Amino acid sequence: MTHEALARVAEQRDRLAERARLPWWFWVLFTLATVGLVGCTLIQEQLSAGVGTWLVVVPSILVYLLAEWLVRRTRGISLSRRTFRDYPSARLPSVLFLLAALAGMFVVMVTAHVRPDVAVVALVIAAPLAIAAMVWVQHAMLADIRAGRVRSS
Amino acid sequence: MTPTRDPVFEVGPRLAMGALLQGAVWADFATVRDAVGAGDSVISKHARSLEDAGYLEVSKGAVGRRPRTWFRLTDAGRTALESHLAWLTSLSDALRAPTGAPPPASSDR
Repeated sequence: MTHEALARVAEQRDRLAERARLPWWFWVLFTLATVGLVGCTLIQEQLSAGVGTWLVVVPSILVYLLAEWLVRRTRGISLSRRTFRDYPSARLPSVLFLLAALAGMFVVMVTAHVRPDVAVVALVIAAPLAIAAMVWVQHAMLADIRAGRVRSS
Repeated sequence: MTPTRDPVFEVGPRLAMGALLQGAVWADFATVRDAVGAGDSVISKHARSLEDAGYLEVSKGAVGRRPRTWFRLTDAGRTALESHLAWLTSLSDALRAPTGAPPPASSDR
């Protein structure tokens, strides 16, 4: 009976983790938003003169918010947004995501005007790294849900 | 946290509902019903019992024109569930132990 009860708990955690898995279209929108944010200066440089960086940054943020909104609307559950606090296994990948995104954004910003080739290389390296780190964050969150380690409140 | 048996979670699908809600902030009625595999009336009945115990917060709203009910474990519910799960785990460990370890304390509330 005890084992049965614990098995049911594990089964529900598995089901929650399955439902918490992000759909493929989220990753498409997330990739667009990440490339837009990390490469905003470079993209702005390639567009016609007089276009402000905000014309790249704002749509990228809107795409990200749209992806979040669609996920919340379609999956029937709401997970904690405090990834760092509530998902212990997701701390390291969250830091790596921030490092990759911010470092990439910085290098692209500094080099876009003087060395666009370096900026392209920085974008090609940093954006996939940031996306890979976010995929790792997602895997870590699902592992924490399955193990009952989430500290939502 | 002291492992404590909580009879509230020993009736029907309440433990399953709690386990599902433990990892989420909110879950909607249909998600809980589908995951637990019980009917609407069963989920409603046990949700009311958990709400009466102060373990569940029920919120009604709408997505577009569709009415929706959302469930969330309260802090008291979360603490009680964690404590009950710790009790279940220690009991399970004690039952598995080859040389009869003392069973965990049980306190009915």
